Amino acid sequence: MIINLLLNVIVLFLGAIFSWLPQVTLLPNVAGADIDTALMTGVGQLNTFMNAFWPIYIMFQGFIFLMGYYAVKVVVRFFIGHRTPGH
Amino acid sequence: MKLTNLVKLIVLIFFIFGANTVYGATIYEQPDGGTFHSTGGAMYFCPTANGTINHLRFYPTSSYQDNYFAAVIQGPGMMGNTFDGALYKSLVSWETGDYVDLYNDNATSTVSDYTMCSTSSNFISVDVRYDNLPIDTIDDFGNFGNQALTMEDNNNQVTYSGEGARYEQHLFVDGESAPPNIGDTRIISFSPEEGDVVTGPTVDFDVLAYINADDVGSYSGIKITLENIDQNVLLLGFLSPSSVVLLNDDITTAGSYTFSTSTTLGDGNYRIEACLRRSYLGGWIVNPFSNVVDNEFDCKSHQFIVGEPTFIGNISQRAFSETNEFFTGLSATSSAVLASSCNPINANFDVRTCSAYLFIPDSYSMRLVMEDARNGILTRVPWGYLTRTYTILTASTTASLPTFTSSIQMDSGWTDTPDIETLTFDMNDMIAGGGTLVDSLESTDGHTFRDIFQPIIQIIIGMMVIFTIYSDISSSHNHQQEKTSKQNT
Repeated sequence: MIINLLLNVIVLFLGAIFSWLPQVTLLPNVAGADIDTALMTGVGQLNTFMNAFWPIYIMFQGFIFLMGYYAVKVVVRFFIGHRTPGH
Repeated sequence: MKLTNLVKLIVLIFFIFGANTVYGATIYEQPDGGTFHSTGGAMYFCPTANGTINHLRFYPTSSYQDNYFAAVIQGPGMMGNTFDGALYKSLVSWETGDYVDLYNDNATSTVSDYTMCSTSSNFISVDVRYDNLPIDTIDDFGNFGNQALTMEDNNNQVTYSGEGARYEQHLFVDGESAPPNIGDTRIISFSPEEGDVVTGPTVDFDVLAYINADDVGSYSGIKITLENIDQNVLLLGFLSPSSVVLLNDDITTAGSYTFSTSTTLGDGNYRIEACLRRSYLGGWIVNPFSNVVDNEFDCKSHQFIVGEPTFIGNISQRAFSETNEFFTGLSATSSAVLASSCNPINANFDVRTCSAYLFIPDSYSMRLVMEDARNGILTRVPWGYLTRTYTILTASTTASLPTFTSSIQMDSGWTDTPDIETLTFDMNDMIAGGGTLVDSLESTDGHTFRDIFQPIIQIIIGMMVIFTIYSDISSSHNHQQEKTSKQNT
């Protein structure tokens, strides 16, 4: 109850700070191309392929994990700059 | 205490507890009781208690293919009533050990007085028939070949000899006397059960809930979430989605609610949670810290293992069980009951439970916080584009692969009607066939290609990912040293 209340307050506080920023629901169109739909279709077809060949699914899991690492690094670099490992 | 302070205290309590009221439910199951006898094509059954029959279970003595089943229940107080809704079951493959359930969706088969069973003419008749043709309407029932079935009670006592399926019946009644009432809206059961060890990769999920007619409209639905515990530990959510919503359905009709599905799961530790959802009128006003107006309650969790468990998964499952010991050990798990454990003048006062209630956030609350953080923070520009990309990349939806068509001219082309052959390549068929072929390979001791090579490939890919990250960090460290040495020189 108490910890949940604190977490709620933190989320409420951060949400209020960033509330003025627009919310992203879809990826933008680039030069008339619907990137969001294209990416969804591409990933859907990849899922179809991975359902048939499970080794591809494991490789894709590894790829997503690696992309997560780079995304975390970008965020860390945003906060601590050149002291970021891998910078 | 000043009146203003009292009002503040009441408002504070209302803020904290107001939106979290949980309604408990009690169910008494009377398993198969009563007496049986049979004449002709139907079995006659006399239960030992008043109630409403809402669930019949059937299972075969041998495998069946492409059969369709129906049942008619008749007896005192319910003549002509039938099991509606889930009356028709299409079974492509019904193997020994599997069972099929028929549910009384409209709760109409009510028997008010079983004392009439004292005369054989007033026994409840259960007439179950099957055919190899689809049953589209109740009228088709009359066209059935009246094929005899072997029916047995729960103790496997043969009560009617014939051919066909075995029969097992369950009678659910509430604890109240007449008039019969089958109780509150609740989740009655779901599987896999707690502690089950399931043989993968295909895992079946079944849920049985009951929706009271008075609650239709006020309850928004039922939700079932499957969580891969192994991936939820050590923040490995990036590896793949750790939670999958198997069902999130709205409740629109009263009666028994059933849901069955199956999915392919790899070896490891899992947790499944079934919750009822309720729409709160003005929920945001009652609890301004949460903008979620759908409150989940009557949540029940089962932890199970597919194939071989993992070290981390076992630790996580044990920790979850110990944490929930505080809550599941109580007679009810509502917030109101838990809060009463902190009241020193209440009979439920218990320091241990109170401490757990105050300091250990339950999974539902944590999930709400995460959803709020995601909706309120992570979806904002510019990092919202990253969140959206991650959402798309981790989606489980599939799309058909494109089909290629190629036209080849078979002759010289100088004729008026050139001979053109058109070849179409359907990649869906090609890939599905190839995948089936690979999965069908077996070693001499019965292990499949996947059993043997999946752990090896997982280790190789995992090592490659770890090596890549290690190289990235260590090379940057050397780079920093180079820069530092250059500055020093």
